[in-house]
Amino acid sequence: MKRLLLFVLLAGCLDSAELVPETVDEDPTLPAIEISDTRLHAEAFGDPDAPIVLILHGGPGGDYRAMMPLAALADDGYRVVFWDQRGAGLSRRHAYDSYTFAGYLEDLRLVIDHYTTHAGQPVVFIGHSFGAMYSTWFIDTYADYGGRIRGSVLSEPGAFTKAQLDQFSSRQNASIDLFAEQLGDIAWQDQFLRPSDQARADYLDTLGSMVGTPSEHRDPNNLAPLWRSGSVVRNALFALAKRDGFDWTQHLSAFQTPVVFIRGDLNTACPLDQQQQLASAYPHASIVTIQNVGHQMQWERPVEYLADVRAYLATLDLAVHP
Amino acid sequence: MKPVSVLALVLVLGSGAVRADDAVELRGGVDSAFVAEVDYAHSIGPVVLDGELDVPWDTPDFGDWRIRAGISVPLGERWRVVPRIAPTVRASSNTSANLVGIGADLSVVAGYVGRRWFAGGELGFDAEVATHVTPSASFKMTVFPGAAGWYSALGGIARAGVVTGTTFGANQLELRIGPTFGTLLPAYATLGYARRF
Repeated sequence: MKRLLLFVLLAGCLDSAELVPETVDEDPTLPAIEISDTRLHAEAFGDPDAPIVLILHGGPGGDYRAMMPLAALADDGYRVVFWDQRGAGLSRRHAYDSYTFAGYLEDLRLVIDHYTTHAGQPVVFIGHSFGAMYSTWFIDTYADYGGRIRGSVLSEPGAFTKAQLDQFSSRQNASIDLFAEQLGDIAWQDQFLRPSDQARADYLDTLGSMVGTPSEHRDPNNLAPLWRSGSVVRNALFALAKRDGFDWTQHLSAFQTPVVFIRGDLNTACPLDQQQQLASAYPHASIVTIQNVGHQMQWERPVEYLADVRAYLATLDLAVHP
Repeated sequence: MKPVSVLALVLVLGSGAVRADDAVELRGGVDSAFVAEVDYAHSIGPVVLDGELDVPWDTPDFGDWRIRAGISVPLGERWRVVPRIAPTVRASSNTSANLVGIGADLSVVAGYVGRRWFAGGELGFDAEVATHVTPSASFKMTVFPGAAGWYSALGGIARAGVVTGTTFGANQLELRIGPTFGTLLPAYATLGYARRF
């Protein structure tokens, strides 16, 4: 009788999948690529044979929706590639235990190869937040990838080592007012839904990701859009970092290509001295600061951000070397 | 005058007195958020009925609240056991969504009630059954239109803690504290003042 009552009560309830957008597995009309054992939400703009500008979104677990202003670079003669990383955005979900550092890094290499049309095709990274950590991880592992990585834009990476990540997290946490409405809202709404499946976990994660941490100083009147926050991949990668640690600066000194850090001056988790410390791991790095903007600078101030990116790209050697 | 001990222990569950007393209690502390709680209890025979309103006090905006209607049956005098079930309706209104949830809080408090003090333990499970989600306009524009409607929410937040306090006249001060399981805040802690009348 109790089961019948419960069934009647819950029979009219919607499925968890209604809370978040469909991924490439549920919606075959979404642009997607297949690499390794996964299916990634991805799209590219511009001449396929042009130098590749590879966009790396933040998170981990974020998506590229707020990076879309960079599609304008296609008009400048670049092949601009957007993709949601494994388990994030509208890409395929994977089980928590399936994530490994090696596999995650291999995804990036395979995405580059997927969009490569000819030998030596130049690649420039534009990474935001975790995306700038990701590109650094790749460069630390593969250097210039056979002469193909010709530049990198890093927008407020949080850390290149586990110790730096701990410091970064401390600064983020310090910005959270225990008595502020945002934290109270998150705690209070925690009573209402349980992360009983990935869609629900993503929904609950997205509620927090939408406004970010106070340290980011997002513009509440122009919130950066996102599709879905990948809760499982985010938690899995943080757990791996905590368990195994990481140091992505061990071989950066071999990367002689100039890189540029672009930051907003309002982000208190990525102050200038912290970005200078990270930049010092690269042999040739410069820092550009956009005034009066926080962590979502590429969305909130796309004109200035694009101008800084274009100025940097103009300095690079993007010719195909035999 | 009835002994003050009848008030002790039971109000920590919002249950009121054992022997036909009415009581009101004000509580504040951490319980799913920084909350202020008011509870009115009235007993009918061996059964105690109570109504409880909880609101987060970080920024009161009338969109966040929790109402419980409790039924409990206190057993014993000096050594007392108080099982309680409290059907619950709660709401949350924030940047992302308006939520209304239905569920029930199930708990048992057991302990010793002396003339001027009491102490015991509490086990509880704040169960959620279903939640109505209405995405905010901001969420629809920034993230996903989503489907407004009821979603099953089978699960809940467990707690296990201690209860202690003192009584003086028709008044009572009480402290509840302990860990929670299955939620963002790892513990609950409330301080309450109750008066029988």
